[in-house]
Amino acid sequence: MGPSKTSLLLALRRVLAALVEFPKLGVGVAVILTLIVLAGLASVLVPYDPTSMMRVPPDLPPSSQHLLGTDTLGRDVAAQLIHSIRQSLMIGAMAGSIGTLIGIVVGFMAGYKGGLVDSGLRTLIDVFLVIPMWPLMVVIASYVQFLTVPVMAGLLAAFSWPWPARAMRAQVMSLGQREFVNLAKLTNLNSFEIAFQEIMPNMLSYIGANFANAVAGAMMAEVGLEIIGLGPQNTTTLGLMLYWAMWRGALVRGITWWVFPPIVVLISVFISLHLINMGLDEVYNPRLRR
Amino acid sequence: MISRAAALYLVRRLVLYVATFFAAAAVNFVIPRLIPGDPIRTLLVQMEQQGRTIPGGEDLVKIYRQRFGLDGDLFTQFVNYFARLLQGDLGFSIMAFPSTVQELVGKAIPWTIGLLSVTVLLSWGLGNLLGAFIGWRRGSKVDAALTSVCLFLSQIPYYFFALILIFLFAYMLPIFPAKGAYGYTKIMSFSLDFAIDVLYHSILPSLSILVVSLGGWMITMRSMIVGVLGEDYLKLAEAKGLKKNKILMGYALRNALLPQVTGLAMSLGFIVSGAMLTEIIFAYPGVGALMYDALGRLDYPLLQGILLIIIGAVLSANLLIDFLYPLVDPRVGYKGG
Repeated sequence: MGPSKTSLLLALRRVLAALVEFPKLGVGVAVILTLIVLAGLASVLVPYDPTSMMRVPPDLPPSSQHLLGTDTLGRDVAAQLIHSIRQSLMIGAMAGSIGTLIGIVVGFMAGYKGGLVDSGLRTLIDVFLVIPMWPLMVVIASYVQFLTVPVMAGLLAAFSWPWPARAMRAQVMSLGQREFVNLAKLTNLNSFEIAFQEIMPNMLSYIGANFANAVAGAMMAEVGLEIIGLGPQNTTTLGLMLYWAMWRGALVRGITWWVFPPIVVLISVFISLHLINMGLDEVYNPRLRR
Repeated sequence: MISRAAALYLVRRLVLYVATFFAAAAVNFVIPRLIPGDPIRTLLVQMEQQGRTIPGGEDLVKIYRQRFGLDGDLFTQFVNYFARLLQGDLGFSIMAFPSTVQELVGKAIPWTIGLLSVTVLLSWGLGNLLGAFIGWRRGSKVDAALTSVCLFLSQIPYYFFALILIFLFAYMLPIFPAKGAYGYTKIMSFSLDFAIDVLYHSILPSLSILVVSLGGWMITMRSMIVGVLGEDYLKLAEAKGLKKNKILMGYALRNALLPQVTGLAMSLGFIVSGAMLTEIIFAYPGVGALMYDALGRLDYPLLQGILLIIIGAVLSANLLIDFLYPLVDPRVGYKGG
């Protein structure tokens, strides 16, 4: 039975109601949606390659012609920013989705199966949590000969699954003790069905919170890598904008309009994701509501 | 005396850490071998094309052939690699040949540890005090204001803050140096003059980390204090007529502090890798900046040596926590893992 049009509308209305009821969630979602729309329009708003150099005079401060000015390499900052938002969000969303997905599978298996499977997976999670990810990522990225957006996302995802896995495991273990799960066991559902049909729907908002967290973590690592020059070489991202700006000493020369736009966008992304994370936590855990 | 269960638990943790370290070392062994071609040879050819020659370049190739065992089969390479590793031999740096990796890291590590240990301790102390203060007055205006400011600050990557500080206090209002650990004209010595210069240069990098990390400690401490507020021993203290400040410092804070001690030990472990981007942005001559140099000049042995040292430091810190925690918190009886 596929969802009919009316039930879809109903679901949409419930989501909207939740956004109004939980203001943190609402604000976070609004900001991220705005950025996504802006990113979606990137090739309409800027129908040329924003990284091609010397299209415009260098180092112009913001004006009506160049809303955010131009950089030292003769590129429009606003044009780069829009395309960078698109690439950065894409890397973050890809890494966050893959990481959360792996986290869900590992966490569910460990939490639901228990026993040897659990101790094995828990040791694996522990090992990943204890190893300092950032320097390891730096070394691995340094060996990759040609970094692209998907490769970058894959690398980040490989390190962003342990936290969601740990969180999922704990939740599945506590939910697994509840009555409705015991009932499901009696009705002869197999453990896969119980995990994904009975337990998972109860955890959707929790999974969402973990996803927001994973995206934020992946994007922070992404920007860190890009600032030291370990970003995708064939495109522009927010971190790479900062790399170029720092490399060309934009701050000490007072070319602030080159440095601050990507910083402001990134900070608003991080704060919005954090708000979404907190908001979804409130949805999941009524005790957090005030 | 520690019980049998406790000993068993500690042994299990120890095994986990040792295994993790060797797994990391094995990854370190495998990664360079996944790259097609001979990295050493490629590098030398590149350097020669750029007109740079390294004294004894051919010898270097030979040494590295031996070092990475590019002359033996994979198994022999693997055994040799671990044998050298266990002796603490991380090999030669390429960019600073004939310096060894150990020598270079040894020179850089005091700067990193000096800068970060002071910063982390300051942030921990201040964060906990502030957190206890607002937790004690939860619901007040101060609480609401500080909590939201810190929530905001904790989402800002520390290196953004470094950039902003440089802009404000080294460019707009040039009162602090933007680069280095000491002035260009100074000579390294154990004099008061030099110490003051080092301190002066460390203010901005330290501040950039402090401001961002403080909020995290504060928020966890706040919730910890709020958590113990309803406990019976606090009611007793109040009933005895103890002063509010005394109850906070002597009773609530002491108990809420325990988990924070673990957190502190964790972040001390991360000190070695800690603030790579801060060091890069401020050109501070620590381990992070050294790693960045190694990256720019494709000095893979140095890069990997640093990585192993960082991993070793973090794992040691974790082990230390496991051993110390039961001493600090008598309630922990090493139940399960």
